[in-house]
Amino acid sequence: MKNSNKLKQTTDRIILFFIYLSAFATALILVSIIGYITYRGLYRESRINKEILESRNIEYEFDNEKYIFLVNKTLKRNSLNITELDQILEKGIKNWSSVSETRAKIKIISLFRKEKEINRTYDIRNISTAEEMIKIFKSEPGTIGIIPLSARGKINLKNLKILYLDKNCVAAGYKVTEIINNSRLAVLSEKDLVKITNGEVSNWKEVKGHDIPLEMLSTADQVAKSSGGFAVVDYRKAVESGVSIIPVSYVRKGANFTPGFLFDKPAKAGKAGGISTIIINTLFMIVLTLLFSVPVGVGAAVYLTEYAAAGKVLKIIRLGIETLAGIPSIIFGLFGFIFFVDILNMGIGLLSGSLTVAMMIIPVIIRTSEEALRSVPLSYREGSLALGAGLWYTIRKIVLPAAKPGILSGVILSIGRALGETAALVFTMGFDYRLANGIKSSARVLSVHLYQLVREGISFERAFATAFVLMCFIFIINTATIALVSGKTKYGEKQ
Amino acid sequence: MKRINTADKHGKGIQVFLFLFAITSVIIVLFISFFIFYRGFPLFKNHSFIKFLTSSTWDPMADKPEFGILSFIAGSFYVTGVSLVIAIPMGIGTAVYLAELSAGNTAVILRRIVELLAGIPSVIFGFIGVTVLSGIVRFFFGGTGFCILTGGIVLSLMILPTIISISEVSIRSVPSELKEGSLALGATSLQTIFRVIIPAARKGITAGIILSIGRAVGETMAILMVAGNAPVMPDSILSMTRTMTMNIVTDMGYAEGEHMTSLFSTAIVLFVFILIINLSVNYFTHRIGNEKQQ
Amino acid sequence: MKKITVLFVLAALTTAVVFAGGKKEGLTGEYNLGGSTTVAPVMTYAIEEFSEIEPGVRVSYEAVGSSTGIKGVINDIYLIGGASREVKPAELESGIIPVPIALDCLVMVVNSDVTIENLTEEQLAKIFTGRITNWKEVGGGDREINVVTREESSGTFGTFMDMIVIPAYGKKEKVKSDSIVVSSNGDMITKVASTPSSIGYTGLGYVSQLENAGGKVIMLNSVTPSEKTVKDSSYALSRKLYIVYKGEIEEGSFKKVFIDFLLGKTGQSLVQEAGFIPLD
Repeated sequence: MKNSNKLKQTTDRIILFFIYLSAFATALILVSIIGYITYRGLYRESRINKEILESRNIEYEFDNEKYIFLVNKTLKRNSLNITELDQILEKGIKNWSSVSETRAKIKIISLFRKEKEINRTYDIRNISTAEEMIKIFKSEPGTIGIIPLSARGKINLKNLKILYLDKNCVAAGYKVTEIINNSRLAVLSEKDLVKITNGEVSNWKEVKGHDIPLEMLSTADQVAKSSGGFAVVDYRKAVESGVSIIPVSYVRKGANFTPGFLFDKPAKAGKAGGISTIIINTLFMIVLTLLFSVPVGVGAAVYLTEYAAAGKVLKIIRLGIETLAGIPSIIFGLFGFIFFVDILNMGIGLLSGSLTVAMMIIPVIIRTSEEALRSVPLSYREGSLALGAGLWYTIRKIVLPAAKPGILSGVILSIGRALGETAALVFTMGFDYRLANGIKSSARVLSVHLYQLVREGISFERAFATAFVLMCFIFIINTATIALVSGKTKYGEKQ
Repeated sequence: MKRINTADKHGKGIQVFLFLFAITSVIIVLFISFFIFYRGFPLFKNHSFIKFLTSSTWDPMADKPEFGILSFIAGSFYVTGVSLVIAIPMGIGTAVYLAELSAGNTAVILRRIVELLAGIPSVIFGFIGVTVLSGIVRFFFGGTGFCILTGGIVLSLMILPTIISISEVSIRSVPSELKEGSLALGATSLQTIFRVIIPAARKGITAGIILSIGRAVGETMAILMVAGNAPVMPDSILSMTRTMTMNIVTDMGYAEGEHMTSLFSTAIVLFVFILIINLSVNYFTHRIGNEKQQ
Repeated sequence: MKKITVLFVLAALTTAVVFAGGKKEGLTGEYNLGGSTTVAPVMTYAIEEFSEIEPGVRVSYEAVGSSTGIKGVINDIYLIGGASREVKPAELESGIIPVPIALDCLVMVVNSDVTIENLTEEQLAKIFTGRITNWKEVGGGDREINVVTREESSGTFGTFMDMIVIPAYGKKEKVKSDSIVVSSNGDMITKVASTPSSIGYTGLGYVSQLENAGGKVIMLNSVTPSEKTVKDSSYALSRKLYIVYKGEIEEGSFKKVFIDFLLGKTGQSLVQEAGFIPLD
């Protein structure tokens, strides 16, 4: 008797331990997932291989006079390299989104500039006073201001920064990049570059290269003739002399999500700009989806709670709702693609997508509304009916208002589901990230944007920033639901 | 519950109107079934249906194309199995903790986290699966890290919220008299949980599990990234696999003609599978419900 | 309930107001383009810049694949199509006119733990068909090779087959059955960068994201894929990207203006920005 009691106690302990363990494990896993998304959403560490070094020069020479370039501090780029600068000056690149994550038209202005100095095709507007220049910087965030180096002190740099102009590269002797045993030095890390320039390296093998003595040289031509030469030289001269150029890999750390991300239009397939139009498209989708699903869902719930009599029909309706709730979203996607897009000829766009999602969330709305309607005390109805009101009048004036918080929380819950949906929308709603301009217009929503960024390898950093935003939205929605549900206790007492 | 029907003027009209709303779900389900069958069935004019289900050779681009989805059915089956093995004990354990053992803020916070997780798009789970989980699986079990196990783990994370919240709700809805009675008879609180509360809540828990099977079988975007996607018959938990949903979405973008039809045929099988699951939820909830009444 | 109704009406009204955008002078109208997914970035960039110049038009590009795109042009669904393959004779007969807009090439990519820097076409064919399974057989460390390939119906897979596998064996050979199959270039990058000892292939436009994710590009027959080696044809896996259209091009029409834009300075710099090689 005692033994079995002891045994029971031990089993109890073990079971209890497992319950706590599973709760703890669940909490740990879920917190780490949310933590991971938040971490990657807010912070980024990206690697980039560059042929042209971040050499941090600030001067640029036109006809023997030195100039510096000024840009707004808000610009997400501290430097330009000479190939990019050429493309800008020759009008190939017209927007910062081509070379950075900022979306702003490039406008070049110049101060104290003598005529005929910069012989390029780009229209460079001449500005006569510093005040005017500052004004243009304020109104046109993508402005590049060119001023003579000598005039540097005359400009107030409060909201501006000096743009670095990168023009050097690492040139190496011909043997360094040769393939031996199917390996070679393909890229140099930033750290190794610093080591070499500090003179701490005497052999290429110390920086993961072949066993060749490292020779510090100064011009591209010298390096081209050497076997193990090294020099930091002008990129254009290096290309001319045909010497091998070794790219350098930089690691950049910094903030990933910035408030501007929310308010700027996306550009370059999501590489640059923000997600503002996508957020608005998402709102459009939600509004349309609710427009289609809420009347149907709430209406169905009213019928089921207030009118329907038990029987075969009710059974079939219930089975239909349950089945609809269980259908995977990919099947909704396929159906929407054939039926709305193709057969009804609505095309891939807001309308087809919203209808597809509406079908998915109808069961959620029915279920929660039914629950809310059922929790309205019978006495409310009886009172109204006893006073001679009709059933529909009673439902409209008494039952629905009383059930409102519950219904609303169901609606909010289904918004959450619509926000996270991807598979059903990919084939029905489209990828266009501009603001939708019509009900049939292809429109990208947050979840699809996320999907595209990852799938097309556009930017994993921005995908996480988007995921972070989406997670915040869902958090807000959940909080609102909980607030509403606790507000429901007004009509509290159960039957 | 009898209601006095003092219908107002257009009461009948409104009733018909609301009935139409109520029947919408049924119509949608019928429509979906019809169109999926309509688009997927023509495949069986040229290819045997039995072979479609029992062959594991999938070669839609060959000169003599072959469509056999047995390995995909097996893939769906295995991945779902693994996810359930992980998610059921964890989910029910957590639900018991939330409903019976926790107090105050811990439960509130944990519940909020579970809800938050339910709304995160599956692509993110897939990405975490590729960059983090596959590495962990590779470290412990070797191989490429893209396999049934990784897929199952990712799916289990995605169905955990469903299992937890449905189980918690059904555990909570067990009448407190039952609990109090058991405690009054001298049972420990653990005994009460396992002998009284969980059996009483099993209807809801079962429904939750079956619902999450449906979610696991139907999940597409996350599993696509982590299960390896090789169209081979899996022979162990560490081999790569392609599920039915993965098969649909992999070729959807490019497929033409018969190949496209075969994707819809795959959808038919998936759909029937889901229907069976749904019907069994229905059956379970009703049977257990009836038992209780007797 | 009334409030909810009001809310809905308000929301619907706002939606309507926002949708009803004003129209300006210049070219007007809506134009649907569609086709290859490879060409999609170029077209997306071009459409974005183009609508700055011509705010009256709304152009959209649907990434539906080369074949569907060309078919769409023939059936007047799309005004202009994008194609990442040569136009077939039958399509030319239906009046399709291809215009090359960029050069592209397949690049072979490996995980950063793979020590080798170069492979020959023959070695590649053997690796992807399962005849070479260990990196030591091609000069690397003693590790199993993890092959990552695209789904069979993708154009990139087709190009890889046509340029590597078919020349090596004279016929279509199956890719080794336990390869990891990915269904997009983004997934290829993620997988190769995060799976040790892996090898895969993708387009030139994805190289920077691959390097960012931690993978590396290897040489083919000792040639590094780059603008220079593609242009002088020393890199073996290059191809052209096209846009296609049907019928006459009228002066001042959208078709004419847009194609000129793509082939002009801005268009070609967008080609480069999308990671492809501009024409000269």
